[in-house]
Amino acid sequence: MSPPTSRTQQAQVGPMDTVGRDTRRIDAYERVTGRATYTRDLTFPGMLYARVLRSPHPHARIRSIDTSRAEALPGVRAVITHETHQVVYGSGSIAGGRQYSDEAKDITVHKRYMFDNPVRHVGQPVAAVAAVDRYVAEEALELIDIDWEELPFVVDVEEALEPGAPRIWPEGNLGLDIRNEPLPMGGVSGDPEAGFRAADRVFTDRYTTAFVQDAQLEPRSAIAYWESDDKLVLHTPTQGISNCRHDNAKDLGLEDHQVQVICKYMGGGFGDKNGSYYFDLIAATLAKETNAPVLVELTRKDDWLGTHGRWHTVQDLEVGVTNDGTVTAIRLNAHSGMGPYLRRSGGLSGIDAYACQDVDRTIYPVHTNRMVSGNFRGPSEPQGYFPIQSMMDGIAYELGMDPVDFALKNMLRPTDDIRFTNYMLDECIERGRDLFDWSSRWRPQPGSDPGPIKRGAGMSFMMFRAGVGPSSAILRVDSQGRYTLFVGVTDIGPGAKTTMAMLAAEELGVALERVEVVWGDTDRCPYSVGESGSRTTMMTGFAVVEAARDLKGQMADRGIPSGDDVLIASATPTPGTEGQRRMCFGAHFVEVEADTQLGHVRVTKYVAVHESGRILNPLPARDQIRGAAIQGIGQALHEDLLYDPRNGHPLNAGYYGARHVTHMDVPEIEVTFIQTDDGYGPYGAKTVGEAGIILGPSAVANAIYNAIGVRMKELPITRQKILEALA
Amino acid sequence: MDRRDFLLLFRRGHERVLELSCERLYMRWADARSGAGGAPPEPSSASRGDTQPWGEEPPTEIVTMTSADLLDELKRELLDADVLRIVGREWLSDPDFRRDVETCVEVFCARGGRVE
Repeated sequence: MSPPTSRTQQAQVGPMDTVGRDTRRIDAYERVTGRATYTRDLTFPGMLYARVLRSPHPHARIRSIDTSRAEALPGVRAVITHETHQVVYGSGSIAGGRQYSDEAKDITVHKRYMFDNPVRHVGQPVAAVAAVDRYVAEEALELIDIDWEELPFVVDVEEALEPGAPRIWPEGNLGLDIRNEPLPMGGVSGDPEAGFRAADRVFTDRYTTAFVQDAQLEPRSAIAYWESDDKLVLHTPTQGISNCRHDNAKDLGLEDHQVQVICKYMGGGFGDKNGSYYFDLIAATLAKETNAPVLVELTRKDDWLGTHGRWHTVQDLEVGVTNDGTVTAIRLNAHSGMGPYLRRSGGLSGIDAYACQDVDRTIYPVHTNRMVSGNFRGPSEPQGYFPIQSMMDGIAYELGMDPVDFALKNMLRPTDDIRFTNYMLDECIERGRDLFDWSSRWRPQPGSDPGPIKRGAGMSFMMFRAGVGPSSAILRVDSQGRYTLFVGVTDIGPGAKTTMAMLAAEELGVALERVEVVWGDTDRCPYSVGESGSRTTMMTGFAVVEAARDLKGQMADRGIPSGDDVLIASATPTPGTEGQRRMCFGAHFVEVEADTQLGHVRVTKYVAVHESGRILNPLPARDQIRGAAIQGIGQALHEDLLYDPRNGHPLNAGYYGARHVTHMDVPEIEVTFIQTDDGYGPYGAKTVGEAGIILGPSAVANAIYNAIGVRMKELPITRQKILEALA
Repeated sequence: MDRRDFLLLFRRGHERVLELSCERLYMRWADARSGAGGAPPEPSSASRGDTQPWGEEPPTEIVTMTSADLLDELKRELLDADVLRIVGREWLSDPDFRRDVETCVEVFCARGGRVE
């Protein structure tokens, strides 16, 4: 399969006819006028409303559950519990981060059920009620009588692995691997011991990162109805209709084609929605029980505690370095808090952005009685980059080096063994240094500003996967010259529908307005990888270009169709990169102002430079980086789901408690793209969506150090922590 | 009433009528023909965590039936029908798709079925 564009390695690229130009979303009108229908906007005749009863305990066994009073309440149509419906949700803890696997589901001893007993975290579902309206459903929840046996609990990742810690699973609290063995992740590359022996100095330190909720605007909901005994229709805010269909079909014992998943609009993705969720199963089960459409709604608090967020970590780092500033060895020993179920792996990235190949990594995915951890935009990146880039920043100061020079000296570069489709990290760092005016903003002596208000500058750099892979697109043209594009994407925020239409219009050489997009419906669209891993543009977009090329060829051979005829082209390309790494690159430069008397930190300047290949639609691409950077600032300074260790209860669930940063709290995020075309992906496009969130915590933390002269090693860097550090 | 993703079965008097949506069948046919990834990786051969090709994300593989299986399924469904109503005929513009559908329809007609 040849790439759709000629190889122009590292070439600078500009706008094309449609691609590369600021383009308003094709559904902007629907969105701003309220005509866009989200899952919760839908109603169906006879639709019932469901609410979920959740555990008030961090760890408890249900001795008995009596639903008779709830069932007797007028208006209640069904009550389901772990006693009535034993549905295994997902293919098991050990399948975290993997495609649904029957084998894994059979193997795992850590099965997760739609309703579990015992419950293992506050907010875990224990029952659901379908009723004629939400108020009856909520009243019915209060009439469910449960006899609880409270069990010992643990919310600290290190305490969870201590001898004698409360056991969340009989096998212990270390997450199991694919063979049900409690082994850490990671491994050794090169010869770390030799690397440390070669070092002139060895630095060690401990960093911690916090649990951060994805916090999308739309509280989750699902509507299910059965069109026949073996045909389920499910409206749900998923990032991947194909995977969502597959997962739900598997859990319900159906074939893929017996489930239709529809997601036209959703109020933000931010991760871990490329598949099913337990409330899909609850909706489907209640719909079956009642023979009616059922809407399951999660309240904001339900959503906060009953879904997932970024895994919190404790990381011990050891870095060997020579006096000339060459990193010779890195050792990481980390604990990732996964909650009671291993929805994802708990892996950590960041070390792999450095050239040092003598590395020893040990990462323990640990079960606790906190809520479940899962993917959040750049799943393993921000909490992985913050420690290592803080550590390296500090080493640069210790060696008397400028952190930018230290980065340029030690970052991973192409070698004979490590080949890239193109490599643009130098350009990102150097462009950022210039745009930010690093030499005037960075203080060679940290904390040297006179007076209590101090400014400082920090930077961070990254590379993030931008690989290619299979996806599908179908494109047709009718006798009126109208083009219809069928793609299995949803639109989680970045404007994928618009991007797909732009790619088709560009390749066809027609105006964007002539391309209509059909999306978000498994019965009306072909397979899509789903909008996770920032892959939609690279994969489905590539398929769109291929389909458009095919259609152009057909039109050249057969002419424009006449009458009721149409021409149809479908494409499922499976591109590769011939063993090369395909990455996007970025560098963020941040200036902060710290009030050393109040502990308050304000970001005063933020420059983000990214190489994401060719930028197909600069308008939303810039906003993607801006939004992600704001999320990164929030993780750096504010966000943390706190748990009371005395009772295992979360203390600050919800927007207000989490103190999310908004546009009002940050300066203009200055975004610059260095555009290239490496010859892969659609016209050379690479990853954008997740790349922008990776560097916020580390760049902000490094700027704070430069301002106050004290290294902050725990996220979030709150006022209290700053004041304690300065005391 | 029964309903599959590309078939709608209903009764009209004594006749059992199947409505075939060429559009919906085409989507499944295109997936099946492309393989859409083929078999998933063996769990025992896959590594965990950050060494996976797609990090924490689901890989691109997904299991779909082959196009031959899909057409066999269509033939089986047609056994229950007296009348076949084909909608969205413009999707038959794809010659490969048309050939596969016509093969099924010929089998249906050969056993006495009627096409509307």
